[in-house]
Amino acid sequence: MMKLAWRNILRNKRRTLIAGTAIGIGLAAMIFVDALFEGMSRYMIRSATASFLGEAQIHRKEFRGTYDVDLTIVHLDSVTARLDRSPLVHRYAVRAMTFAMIASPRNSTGVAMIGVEPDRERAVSQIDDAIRDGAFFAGDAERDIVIGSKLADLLEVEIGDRVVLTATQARTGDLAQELFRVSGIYHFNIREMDEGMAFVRLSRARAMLALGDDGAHEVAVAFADPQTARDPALSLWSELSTGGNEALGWPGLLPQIATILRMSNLNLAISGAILFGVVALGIINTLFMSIYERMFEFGVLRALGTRRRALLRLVMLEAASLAVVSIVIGMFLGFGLTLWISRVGIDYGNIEMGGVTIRDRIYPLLQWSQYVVYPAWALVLTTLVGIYPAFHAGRVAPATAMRRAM
Amino acid sequence: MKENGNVIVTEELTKEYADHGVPVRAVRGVDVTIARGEFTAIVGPSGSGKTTLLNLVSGLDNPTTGRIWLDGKLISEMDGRELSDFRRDHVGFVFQAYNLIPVLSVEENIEYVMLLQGVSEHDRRARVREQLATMGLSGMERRRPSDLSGGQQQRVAVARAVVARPSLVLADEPTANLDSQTAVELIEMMRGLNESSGVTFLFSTHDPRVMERARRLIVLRDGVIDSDENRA
Repeated sequence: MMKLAWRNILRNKRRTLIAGTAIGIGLAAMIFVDALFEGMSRYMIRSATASFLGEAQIHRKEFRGTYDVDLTIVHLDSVTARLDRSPLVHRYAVRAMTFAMIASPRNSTGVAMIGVEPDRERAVSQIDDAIRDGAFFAGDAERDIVIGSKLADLLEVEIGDRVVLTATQARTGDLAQELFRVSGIYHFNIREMDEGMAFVRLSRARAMLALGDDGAHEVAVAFADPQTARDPALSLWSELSTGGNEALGWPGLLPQIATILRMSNLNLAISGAILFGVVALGIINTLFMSIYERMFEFGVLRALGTRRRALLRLVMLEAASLAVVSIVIGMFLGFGLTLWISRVGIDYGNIEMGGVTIRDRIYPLLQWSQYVVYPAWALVLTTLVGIYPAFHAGRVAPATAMRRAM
Repeated sequence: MKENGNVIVTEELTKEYADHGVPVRAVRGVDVTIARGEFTAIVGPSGSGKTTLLNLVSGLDNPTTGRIWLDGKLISEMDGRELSDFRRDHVGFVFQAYNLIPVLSVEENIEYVMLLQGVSEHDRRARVREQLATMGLSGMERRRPSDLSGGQQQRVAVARAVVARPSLVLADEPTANLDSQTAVELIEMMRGLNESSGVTFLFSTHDPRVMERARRLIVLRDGVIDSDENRA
């Protein structure tokens, strides 16, 4: 039966090629769009997490909503010890942060003052990579400060200039004021970061904010596998969300991006369903054309003793054979197109999605799953679609079909 | 059981159908008996009911009324699956337009019914070779039907009909598409098979040279047997 089905499919090569190409284009489109979505998704996540956020964060509950300087992480040493033990965690950085006033001799403005450990911060965020002038805490100077390019413009300061930070201390609410020297200016091309953040050493921030030796407001985590943070069932979340702390991955920290990615997946599924629906009609049409042309043959096969079920199986095998042809074409086209675009990229022209500006070219991401899941779907759906014409062929009455023949 | 040495027995066989809404009585109360080993021709003008009668006695179509015994089995009351299996094991067909499966080779066409019967590959190959030799088609195993002449295709069709060792071979106008010489050769070949293997042949024809070689001639007119001449 398999041999007969395969030969029947190759009987009208042009029609098979046209139908196979139509299905193949649908499959290639699905592979390409999936690769593009995956590339875009990873770009958005990387853009949102790699610059500063981290893939996960640990805070005291309610800190994210209030930025209250008193809401420091409970038992920071236990938290960092757990992170040190986890094989999933690649790096982490401890931060102290509060809203502060920054002033130069010429201007002043409000910023988020962030105390960091330079070595750990380099491994988690990209501030060091974004340094335009100076360095990211190159020496041991306790009063170095690293600010964004727009903030430097606003304050009209350069490397070596002095600025004053004023912030409220923990517990007492007293104002603390300290002098810093600008040692680095970074440029992320993200307005909020270039204008609204100022980095000092963690030890200096702790002293200024009266947090003690182990006070901190945030631990930013980078996982060994960036996909880890997508797992809502990760035990690390519950283990670290104890004693008043909360641990969240980027989907919890950036729900708007998570929503966009969910919508993208839904859009992909809907597009796929529509595409396969159209393709399914094409398959049905192709198979019916083939069946009507061979109606007398079905009559002959039935006359010779072929059971209805065997004819049904024959037509379904033909549908499956057509699917195999289509999958070969689709995988070839899909791989070629995706590979090409993954090299040249697509320029989205600085559009913003979910608060992330897509500044760079987006490169589709080739994954094995695209060449397993979608072809498997194409095979299953094409074969299932073949059931309708197969039933039609199976119902053929030998005498009726043979009327043309005998 | 209505066997008693007969391959076909029909009883008050009637077939009615609608042709563009007009009721047609193609076969009207036919009682016919075909004994095992006969070489019988059904003749008659177009529309006399020859093809309908062949369809009925082979189980390709169901009678409106009446009963049919084939090889002692009441086939007029069998369901579709039983009929399929019965035709596979008991009836061989030769069609006017050859009707070989174009995507199968000569060898594959001939062995098709044996495949359905579950005959082992070794036996299939042996029987195919034997039939090809009998039909003068040795060396053409791998050819496709489209590579053969009309006469060769019809010989392959006859080989396909007899290779599964049926009780009955039905042939509807088997020589209609052949030239005179080829038609005579084919009918002689069929008659040779009938004599050598004892398989029963029942065929419809318009061809006088084919009629001459039949041992029994049943003349059908307006769905009724007009005459039945045994010339053995």
